[in-house]
Amino acid sequence: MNLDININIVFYAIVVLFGLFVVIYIGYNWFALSQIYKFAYKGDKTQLVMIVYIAIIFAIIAAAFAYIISVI
Amino acid sequence: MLEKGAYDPEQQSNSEVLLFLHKFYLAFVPQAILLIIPLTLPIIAFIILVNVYGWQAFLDKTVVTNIGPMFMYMIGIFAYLLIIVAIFFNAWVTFYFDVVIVTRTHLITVNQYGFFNRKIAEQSLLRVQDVSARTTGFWQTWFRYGTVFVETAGEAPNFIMPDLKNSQMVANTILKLHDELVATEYEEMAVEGEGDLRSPESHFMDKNNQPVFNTNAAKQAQDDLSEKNNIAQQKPFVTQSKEFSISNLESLKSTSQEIKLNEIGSFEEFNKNKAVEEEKKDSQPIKPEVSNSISFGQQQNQPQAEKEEGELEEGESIKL
Repeated sequence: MNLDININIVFYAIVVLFGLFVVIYIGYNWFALSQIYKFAYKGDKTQLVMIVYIAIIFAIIAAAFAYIISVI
Repeated sequence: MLEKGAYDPEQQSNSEVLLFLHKFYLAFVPQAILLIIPLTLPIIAFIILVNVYGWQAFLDKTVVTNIGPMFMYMIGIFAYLLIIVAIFFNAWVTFYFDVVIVTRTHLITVNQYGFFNRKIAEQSLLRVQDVSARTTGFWQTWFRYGTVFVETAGEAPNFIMPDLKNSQMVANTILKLHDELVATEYEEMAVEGEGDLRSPESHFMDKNNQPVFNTNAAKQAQDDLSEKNNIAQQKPFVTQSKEFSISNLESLKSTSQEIKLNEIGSFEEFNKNKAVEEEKKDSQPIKPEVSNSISFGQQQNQPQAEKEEGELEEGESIKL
C-alpha cells in the first residue's frame, strides 16, 4: 500500500459511496431474504436459490473490495 | 417456512392438500433472457476496454483532476452487477412464489409481487360456477401448460391462474371436487331435514334411476324417511288436531289472555281449563281489554267493543 501525499479526495469519496451502497444493499437483502424464508414452503427450491444468491452477491462484493485494496 | 397446507402464517388449512402447483418453469425463460443480457454487457465492455487501454489502466490510482477512468468503470461495474442480480432474484421470487393450492374444500391462490408484496385469495369450491383451461401459442401447446379460469358465484372476483402445467387436468380436478362437495353438502342438508334426498345431478342416479348416496348417513336418513312416511299413512297423527298443536299455543300468546305454558300439565288439562274459561266468558258482558304488555300483531290500546244491535247502554231508554 502506497499512500500518496496528494490524496485524491474524489477517489476516496467514490470508495466511501460504494461502501455505503454495499451497506444499504446488504441491509435491504437481509430483510428481503428473511421475509422470503418466512413465506417459503417446505421442500421446494427456495432455500437452494437463496444460498446461491447470497453466494453470488458476496462474491461480487468481495471482488469489488479486493480490487479497491489492490489499487490503494 | 410454511407447510404446504398453510397458505397464511396465521391460518392453518385443515383440509387435505390435493394440488400444490407452482408456475411452469418455461414461463420464466423470457424474463431470464431479458435479465441475463444486461449481465453479460459489462463483461463484453471490460474485454474491449482492456484491449484498448491495457491492464495497467485498471490499476492506475487517481490524480486530482483526472480520476483513473478504468477505476471508476470498475466500481460502476460492481454496483451494476449487484443491482442486476437483485433484480433477477426479485423476478424469480415473483415467479416462483405464485402458487395454486387446491384442497378438498377450497381453492387458494398466492400471488407474489416482489419481495414484500403478496396477495392471498381463497374461495370455497362450493361457489365455483365454471372452470375452463386455455392453451395458446406454440410453446404452451408443445409443453402442455396454460391458463386456468375459475368463475365463482357472487361478487367474488374470478380466479385466473396462468402458466400451470397440465392446465386441463387441473380444471377437471377442480370441477370434480366441486361436484363431490355439492353432493356431500346436499346429502348433509337432507340428513338434517332441510332438503330433499333426491340428488339433482343425473350422474348420481344408478341404472334403476335410484339415487346414489355418498355417505352412509344420507342413506340411513332416506330409509328413516320412508319408514316414517309408511307409518304416517297407516295412523293419523293425533297432534295434528288444532287444540293440541304447539303452533296454536304460540298463537294464543299473542292474544291479550296470558297463558303460562309452565302451568299447563298436559294437553287434556289445558283443554279442560280452556273450556271452563270460555263458559265464564260467555256469561260475562264484553269489556274492553287494555293490555300493558306489547305482543306481536296486537295494538296497544284495544278499541272499545262494538255495540251490538239492540243492546242498551247505561242510562239509555227506549223511546216509544
